[in-house]
Amino acid sequence: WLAQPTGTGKTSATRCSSSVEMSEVEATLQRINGHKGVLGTIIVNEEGEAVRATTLCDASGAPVEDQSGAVAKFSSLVPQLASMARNMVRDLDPQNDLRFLRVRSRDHEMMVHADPEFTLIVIQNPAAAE
Amino acid sequence: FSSPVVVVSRTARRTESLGPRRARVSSVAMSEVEATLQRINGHKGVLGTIIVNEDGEAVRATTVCDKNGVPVADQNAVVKQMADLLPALASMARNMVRDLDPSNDLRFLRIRSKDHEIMVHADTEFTLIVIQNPAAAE
Repeated sequence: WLAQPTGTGKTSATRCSSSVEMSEVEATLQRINGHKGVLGTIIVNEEGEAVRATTLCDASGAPVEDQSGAVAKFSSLVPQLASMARNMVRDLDPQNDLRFLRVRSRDHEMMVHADPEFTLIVIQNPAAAE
Repeated sequence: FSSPVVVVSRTARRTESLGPRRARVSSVAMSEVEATLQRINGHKGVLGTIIVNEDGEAVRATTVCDKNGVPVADQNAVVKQMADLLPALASMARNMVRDLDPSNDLRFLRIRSKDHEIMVHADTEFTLIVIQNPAAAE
């Protein structure tokens, strides 16, 4: 939905200015965030700025204290790792490409869809989701 | 992989420093390792499994196939490439998890690409890599 080609090479800012697209984005984010166990969702643009973020919670469901700080950390670190994963996939086979990345840690699981135009990060509590 | 290898599990950690006893203790661990590898490799859709030790050497590998089930032409090269690249990526993922929260730690990493999915369990002592065809697995 965010990455639908407009065919005119418009910037992401222009593309996202459509109110129809924005509402679809919001609806999608809310749908994802409503899944059991999801602790937060963040959309990062190609410049590394978080353009959408739902309230990040910890494993017990309590909102994280420093929301901006947490979102900024995710926005800076996760796209970099996704980029390294993409490079690795291409090193193994130049015709292959990264589709999805899941990083499971002790406390939560991060699911990352990385696109040239945006990165979608969903954080979930894997125990709750299972 | 014909050279003697000790797969040091957590319970057998003390045996690493013992010389002659190494072969006896490790034979039990080896058969468990082999059985586990065969079990994993027998799952539908699994294209290969590789165990990498802490020195970055592949100590066990099943035949790596492509998504059609055909063994890859240059097995050694593929295994070596994966043994080089994946522990490094897992290490970066672990660093990222710890940067986000120093008390957290990486458990598992899944990299889904167009052609296959690579699942990595990274330990301090070894790295287990499983490659599967996600379409077949589903």
